[in-house]
Amino acid sequence: MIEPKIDIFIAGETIDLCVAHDDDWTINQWYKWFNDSDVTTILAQGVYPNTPQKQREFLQSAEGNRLVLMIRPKGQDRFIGVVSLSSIDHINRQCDSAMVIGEKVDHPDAMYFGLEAKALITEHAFEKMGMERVNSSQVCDLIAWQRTQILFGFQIEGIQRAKMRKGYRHFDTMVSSCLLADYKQVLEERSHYWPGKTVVFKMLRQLPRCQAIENLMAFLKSEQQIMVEHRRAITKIVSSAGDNDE
Amino acid sequence: MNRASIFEVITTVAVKLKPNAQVEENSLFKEDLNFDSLDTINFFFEVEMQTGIQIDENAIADENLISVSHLLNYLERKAA
Repeated sequence: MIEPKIDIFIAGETIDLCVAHDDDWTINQWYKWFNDSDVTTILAQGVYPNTPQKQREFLQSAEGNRLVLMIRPKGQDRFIGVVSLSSIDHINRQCDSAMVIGEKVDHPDAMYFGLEAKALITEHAFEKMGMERVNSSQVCDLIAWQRTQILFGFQIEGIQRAKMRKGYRHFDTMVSSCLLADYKQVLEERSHYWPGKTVVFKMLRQLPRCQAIENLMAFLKSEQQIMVEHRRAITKIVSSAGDNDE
Repeated sequence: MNRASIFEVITTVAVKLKPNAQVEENSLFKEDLNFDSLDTINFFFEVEMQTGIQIDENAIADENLISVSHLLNYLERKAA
């Protein structure tokens, strides 16, 4: 029997973020997530089979330019996902965050796992790594997740049209970020970036059901169309002027 | 609010969240309706808002609110 190798790097309330070792126990859980079509529906992975070797190669390639941590529910001997910071730029002091929850978990605290993982790694980026900007992007379909990011200082910055492709489908992605100033403001408001699951529950309940994100998507589409009409009109005018000159 | 009305609200909210959802009384949120954990909690809040019946945080674990029928039974009891 393979012994669990749990090496806690950042301890949380509902989860711990653990060192991603390249031992069999870790790798054998990790690689399978990317062969699960439910997990990879809107991920770049899932096009070719993943293998333990490929997963190890990914981990080795991450050395020095990516921080990868395994998500472990408190008190459990298993990992349910992975969270990372990549494109770590120490000159511009910014990085990209990403997370995959590979296991659907039956646990009363399951609703907090992803949120706390994101909060812990973002906090680490600002408090320990000296980052001043943490970028985040998800397909626009993940509206519920994008709404909750607001509680942790992330601000929506825009929508990238047809940015992601899976098979013949294209997906718009929403980009957001948390700046150091946003992070500090959250701390001013509530003194702990992760304020505890009870408070998070109350905050989630209070999140407005307003259509801010949907409104933004509709607004951008409409503004983009206006720009296209402007361009067409300008092209016509300039072309007509050119004809007259001749 | 009676059981039928609550079920109607649950169905409407579930379909809004997952347009292809086939909602029945014995539907499990995760396995049948394909909710992830964030979907589930947002679903609960929306049902709460539509029915006016608060779902206590502890109830999610204590009452094992993993299916439509579990939620229906809980809300029906609270409404009574």
